[in-house]
Amino acid sequence: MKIFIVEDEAALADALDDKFKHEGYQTKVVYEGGSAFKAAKEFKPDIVLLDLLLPKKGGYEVLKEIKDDEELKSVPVIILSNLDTDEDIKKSMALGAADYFVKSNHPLKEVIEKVKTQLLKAK
Amino acid sequence: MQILLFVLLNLAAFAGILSFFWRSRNKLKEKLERLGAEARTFEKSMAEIKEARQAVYERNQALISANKDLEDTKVAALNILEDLDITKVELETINTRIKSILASIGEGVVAIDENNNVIEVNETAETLLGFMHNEMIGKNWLSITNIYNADGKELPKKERLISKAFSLKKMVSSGPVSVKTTLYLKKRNGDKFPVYMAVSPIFLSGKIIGAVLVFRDITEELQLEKVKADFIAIASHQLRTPLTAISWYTEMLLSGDVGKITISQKKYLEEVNEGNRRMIELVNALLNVSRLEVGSFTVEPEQLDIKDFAKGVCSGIRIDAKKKNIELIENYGAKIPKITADKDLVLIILQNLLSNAVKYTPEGGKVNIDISLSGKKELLIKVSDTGIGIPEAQKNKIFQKLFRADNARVIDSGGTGLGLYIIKSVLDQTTGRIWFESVENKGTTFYISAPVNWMEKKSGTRKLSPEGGV
Repeated sequence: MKIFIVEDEAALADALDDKFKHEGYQTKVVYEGGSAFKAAKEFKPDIVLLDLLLPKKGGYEVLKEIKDDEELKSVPVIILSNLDTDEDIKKSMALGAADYFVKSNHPLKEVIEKVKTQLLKAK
Repeated sequence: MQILLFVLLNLAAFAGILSFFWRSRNKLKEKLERLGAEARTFEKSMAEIKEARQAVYERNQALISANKDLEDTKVAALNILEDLDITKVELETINTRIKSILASIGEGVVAIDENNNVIEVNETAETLLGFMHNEMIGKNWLSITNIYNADGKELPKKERLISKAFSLKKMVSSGPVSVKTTLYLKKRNGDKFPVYMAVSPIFLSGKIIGAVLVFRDITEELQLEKVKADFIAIASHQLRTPLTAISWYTEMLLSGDVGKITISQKKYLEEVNEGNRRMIELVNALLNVSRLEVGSFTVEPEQLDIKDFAKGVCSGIRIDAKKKNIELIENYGAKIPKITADKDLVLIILQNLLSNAVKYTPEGGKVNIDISLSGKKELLIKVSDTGIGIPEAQKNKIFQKLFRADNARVIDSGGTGLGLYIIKSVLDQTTGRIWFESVENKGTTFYISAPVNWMEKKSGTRKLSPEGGV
């Protein structure tokens, strides 16, 4: 299973990368939004973990690019952000996100559980 | 012969004289009779004249009386006219005063009659709506402008504040009718602007004869709120990011992902994790406080079975209670209807009160929750414990922000001092009340009272975050 991680905070991106590799997943990390879509097209992930506040191109734009793409639109995207307003959550879900997690409120094991659940749903 | 002739002549003369006297007598008699008749006529005339004079006299008296009445009436009329002059001046003074007051008010003010026709409007309303004074006076208010909710949909007639104000059955002193959500009014040119609006019905002899609408353009207030909300959102994001890193890395170390750790290392890492968890909790609590104080929190009420909901909260609390061998007793009154409330806000209230009760009750103690109806439409929630109580000297500070009682600090140094402040703020903003009774070292009972229709929908940037959040 391939997990595509878009996260600008290196510490968090590396934690996710290490944890999912440790759990046996194949991962690809991108630290900014500008190249995210192109990298996703090449990587062909089973699931995407996407931050919202990103350099070069914001998370919403990346989400829209993924959902507008025939090849990638069925890939579940989980938003992992420390933004927590209703507006952010509603907007993400409206753009096609599968779920929304406020990072600080959830331990990594819950993020892993959520990814597993989404992958089962996507099957 | 001569004598005879003489006698005859004398007789003739005598006869003539007799005849003369007879005729004279008759004439005299006729005359006397005529005189008598005239005298009677005269008497009659005199009586009639007398009557006529009496009538004239009486008429004259009546005229005099009428004249006097007229004089009195004239005086009275003059007095009334004088009074009217004074009243007119007074009315003009009052009118000028009202117009000056209306003109100086920064809010738009529109007075309408019971048929929604505009009877008065101030300059601010003219400016805000883009209509001239004479274009609105006498026109139906509903044909002048429309009112919309935040989604841009026209407000249904029954939800319009005018309809709500006119539906008030009796004189009330509870103030004007208003809503907490932002409404939008349409200008003459079709543009819409956000308003805060309040409508007060006008009562006369117990009947509604019209209403006064007061509205304020809140464009700048909304912009300011957005700036504040954006700041809170970014600040919270920046605060949470390093806390997330600490949380995830300690979690990975503790799970042995990067190798086995010693017992001491595990203990230290758990301390780091616990400290970090408290920091995240504090950030969430401070964000709640900030949203409560700015008023930017969302309220989404639903029909809530409070009994089932409280049972769910208690089952979570019971885990901590068991660890301290504390008995958690639940009592629910009969026939409690579903309440209208935001379940996240009710969760914040119940969770805080119950976890405080367990936290500050020594091992082996008791915590009670009672939920019942007080009267027909008032919900009463009672949370009592056999805990440490609140020191007498600190009771007046218990709802203050960041305040923690001395005896509470001894038991738990890590509390935020925000729980009760948040509960009180939520209740203050949702028509609920909280109070308590407490005896130090014996226990505390918190009471919450709220209407069954507790909370109204309110738009904002974010719902308040119960522990754990999204």
